[in-house]
Amino acid sequence: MIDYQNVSVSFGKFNVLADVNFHIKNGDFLHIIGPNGSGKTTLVKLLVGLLKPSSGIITTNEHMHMGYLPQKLNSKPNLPMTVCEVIYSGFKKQRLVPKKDELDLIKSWLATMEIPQLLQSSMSYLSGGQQQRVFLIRALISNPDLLILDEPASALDPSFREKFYLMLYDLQQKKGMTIIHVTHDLTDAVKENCLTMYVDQTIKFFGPYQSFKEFEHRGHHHV
Amino acid sequence: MFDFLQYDFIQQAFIIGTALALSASLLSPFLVLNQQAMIADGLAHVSFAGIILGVLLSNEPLYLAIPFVMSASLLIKYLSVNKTVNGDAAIGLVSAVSFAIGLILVKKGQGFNISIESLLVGNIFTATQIEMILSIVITGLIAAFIIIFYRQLLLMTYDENYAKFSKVRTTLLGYALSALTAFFIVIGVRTIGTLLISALVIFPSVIASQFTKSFKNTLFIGIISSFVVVVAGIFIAHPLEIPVGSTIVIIYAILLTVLLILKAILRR
Repeated sequence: MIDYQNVSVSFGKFNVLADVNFHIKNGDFLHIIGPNGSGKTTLVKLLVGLLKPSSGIITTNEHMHMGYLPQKLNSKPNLPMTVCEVIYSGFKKQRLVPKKDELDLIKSWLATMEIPQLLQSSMSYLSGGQQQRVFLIRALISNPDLLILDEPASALDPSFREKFYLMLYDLQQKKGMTIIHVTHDLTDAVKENCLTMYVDQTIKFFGPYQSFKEFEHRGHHHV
Repeated sequence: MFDFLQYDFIQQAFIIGTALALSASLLSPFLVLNQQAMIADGLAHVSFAGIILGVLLSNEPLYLAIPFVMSASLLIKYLSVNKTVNGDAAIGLVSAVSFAIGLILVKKGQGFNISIESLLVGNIFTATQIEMILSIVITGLIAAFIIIFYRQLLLMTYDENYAKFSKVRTTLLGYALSALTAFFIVIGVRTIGTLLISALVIFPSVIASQFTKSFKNTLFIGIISSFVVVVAGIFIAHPLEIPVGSTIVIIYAILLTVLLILKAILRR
């Protein structure tokens, strides 16, 4: 479970998030949407430990393993790194598979993401969509309990996008993975029983997707 | 032609050269590919002051110079980690201040027979046995550090935020990397010289990344080219009676130029 209590973040006098309160259970699938600069990324950066709240408390399960797909990717395009090396670097110490199985695991994930031929390719030669798939594998390779995806589909082509979301729901249902998905576009992403949060400096809506549609119709949300 | 190999000082120079070539090329990708190439240059300037201070205050200057430069490297890291000043500005500040102190100490300590030239250019053939032992020690330390923390260092170099997320102790590893670099630089300043030692760290990755798009291969090709160039430098410099450091840097520069030309031709 994840619990935010009165969480606020401000940089100097600038409030990015104010008084955020919510709770999700293990196995929930949460979509976080909101306009640009609304604090969506900040909200998940708090969870992965890249930012500290100015006030408030965030509680998570102890020993919870997280997978994370950051919004900004491939920050050093000139660095010599192969696809295999990028994924390899994402293995978590606590969740290492035996050395001899590492390569097989990487290969099987590349096959799942439909890019098996890229194992030894240089990251800098890949298209944006291919890179995104590699970073998704890096997030998933340690079999996390909680998966945090910040705009994962932004560079994926529409045909793969649909498959990608089906795969996520599959992980949620079969492995009980908790998934938090930040996006500005819910196309292909929503299914029944998922949670939705609308953020704009604070939580404007939080609840099941069905109720979110009503909230949207009432005119609170303009996308 | 290999007669000169029988001399002890030549053998010692080969051992030190090999050790420094190995240490420099092991550090290279983690510094150069992480926009920290100039830390080697900055620490070389700090070593200048550290060694002079060592000569003035102790019989074995390295025993003072090594902790002095390691402290300076931690200070540089501290300033840049805490965003007090930019990383490159931190290097510039600390190295300039140290160099200034060094120059004053030289002037005031003239009775101690310190040659600025020998510090700037270095001399691998007059190295002491202690310097040789320390060069082996630092090579062992750097190799162990990189073998043990390879995955973490790789992640840290490529994507620092993801490394922090993955609970890699990036700050601690960064400090350790700086301190090991400092240790290496002090030995390097004595043998290769203040002005040229940073080239030993910078060239291997630059050369290797012309050949390969893999980090591991960058490391390996860097080690091989470093070893070949440093040994060739000692071989060529000794009979010609020219400085070893300069010879190494010139060989590197020729090698890189040839590679870039070959690459341009092959690409057509």
